Amino acid sequence: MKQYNIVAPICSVSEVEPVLKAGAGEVYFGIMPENWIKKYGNADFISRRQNEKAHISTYNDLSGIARIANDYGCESTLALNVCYSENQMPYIYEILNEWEARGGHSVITADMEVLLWLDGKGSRLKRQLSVMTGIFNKHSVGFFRQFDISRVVLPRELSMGEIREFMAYTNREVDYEIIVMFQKCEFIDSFCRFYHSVAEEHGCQMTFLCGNMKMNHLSNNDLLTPFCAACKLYALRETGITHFKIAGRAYPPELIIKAVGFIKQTLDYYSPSYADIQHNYKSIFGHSCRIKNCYYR
Amino acid sequence: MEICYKIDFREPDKIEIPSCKRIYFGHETCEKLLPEFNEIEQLLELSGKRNLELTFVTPFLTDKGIEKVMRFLEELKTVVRDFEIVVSDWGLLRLISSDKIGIPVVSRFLTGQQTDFRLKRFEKIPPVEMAEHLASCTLLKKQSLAFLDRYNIERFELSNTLQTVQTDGCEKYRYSLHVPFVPLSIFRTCPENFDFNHIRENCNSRTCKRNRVEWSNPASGYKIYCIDNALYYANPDYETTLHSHTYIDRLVCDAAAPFL
Repeated sequence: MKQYNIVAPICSVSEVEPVLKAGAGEVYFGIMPENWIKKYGNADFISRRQNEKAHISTYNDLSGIARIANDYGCESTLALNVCYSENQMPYIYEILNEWEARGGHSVITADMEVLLWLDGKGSRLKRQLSVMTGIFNKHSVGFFRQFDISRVVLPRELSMGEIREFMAYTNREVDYEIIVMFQKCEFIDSFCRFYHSVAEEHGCQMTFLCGNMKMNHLSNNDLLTPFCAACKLYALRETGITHFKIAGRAYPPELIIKAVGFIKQTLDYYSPSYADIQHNYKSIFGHSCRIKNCYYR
Repeated sequence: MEICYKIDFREPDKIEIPSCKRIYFGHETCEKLLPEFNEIEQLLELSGKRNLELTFVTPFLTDKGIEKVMRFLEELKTVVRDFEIVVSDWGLLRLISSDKIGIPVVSRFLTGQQTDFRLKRFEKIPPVEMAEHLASCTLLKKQSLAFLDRYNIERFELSNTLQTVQTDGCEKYRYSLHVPFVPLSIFRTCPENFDFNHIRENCNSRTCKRNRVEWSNPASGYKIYCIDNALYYANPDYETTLHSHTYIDRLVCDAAAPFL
């Protein structure tokens, strides 16, 4: 099997080194500059994460992240992974120019305009297609191959059967990544149009009434018993997926480090039993895993 | 203004639709709820009898789904000369373009509208850039549109969002406005299978009845509609949108929820 890589989230320069030491081979992060917040607030309009605390805020931070990742021989990836309106593009282009000039490696995007712009300027930034793009079939990969993409992040809504089918016939000139820890949602990322702000409930957190039935928190808070795909890692690697992403930007850094360690242990252990994985989960996160928090069944 | 009706092949009794020139059929959120070719016999009969144009609506598609759609289209083109295909999947757009099947239309799931019903309040809250963003369609940008020209896109589908919608600078295209239901989100699986362990590919959609359930969100006071595997809110006031948008030349109404 091909070499794997764990891709971990960070929200500040100080978090880069600990997650790389824990076993991540790549970090990803978002940026929310002050001038952006003045115009568009701190909802998820610059990356698919609300709150300035989930982002770095300055261009100097870009330099710091790229430098530490380089020192470790690892990649660093900037998440600009939503789609933007025409008037927002100058802000995005400025950020991309700064990221490239300061030694950044890659960008995660879902916006065709960003891909076209990077192509047009001959950027050396690698382009990863976000889960927000909604790549559910091999022909969509073919469509985006026109933009020189290097990696596709698969939708987390796919079942194991659908992943196997997708990977069996898809283009192997690009790498494939899949989310393996935290934050599974009832809604499909690429088709969710709910407003994700700091102060208000997200669509998946709202209370809905249906007749006498009350539906509360459709998606679960997973800080205690994280959503997880550890039991499926071996099968996912067998399909040809090489990059395993930890979700949860702005989750406590110590939890992210634990998650990186847990996924690395599971990947490094040749075909561990479910019992071993579950035992390890409990010893690391302090609670038994729950079947309802499984990814990719 | 062209008025069209969207019909559901699972409700043949609702197929008696008001006067119109075009009907939309298919499904916009679930590939399992797309018809097989032998299930649209009644629809084809009606279309022939009343000289109705056809628009086939498709959702996001897995590899299995895309194969099913392509088989369906191969059969459809043997009996209907010109028809539109609403695409919610870039892979399908690529395929129908290379195979020269149908007239491609970009679905309202790809045009990039912000649709949360809470966003209307930003119309009156500065800065103005926020309101402009929320009324925009993120796909409708110069370079992206120039790129999409190679796929012969002439029409984009829009939702009748409360904060209205702008397509400034994209006047060479035509736009359809869907009323009254505005999509908020698509579930991984139908709410009746509301359970993270339910495997979507195991859905037996052939027994799945059209499922429109009224939900509400007590905090907002808005009525929400769960239709099959997606959530919508309703905004029947299309006149406000039409007033501010001169390039909409088509209204797409739901035959099962008439309001015009």
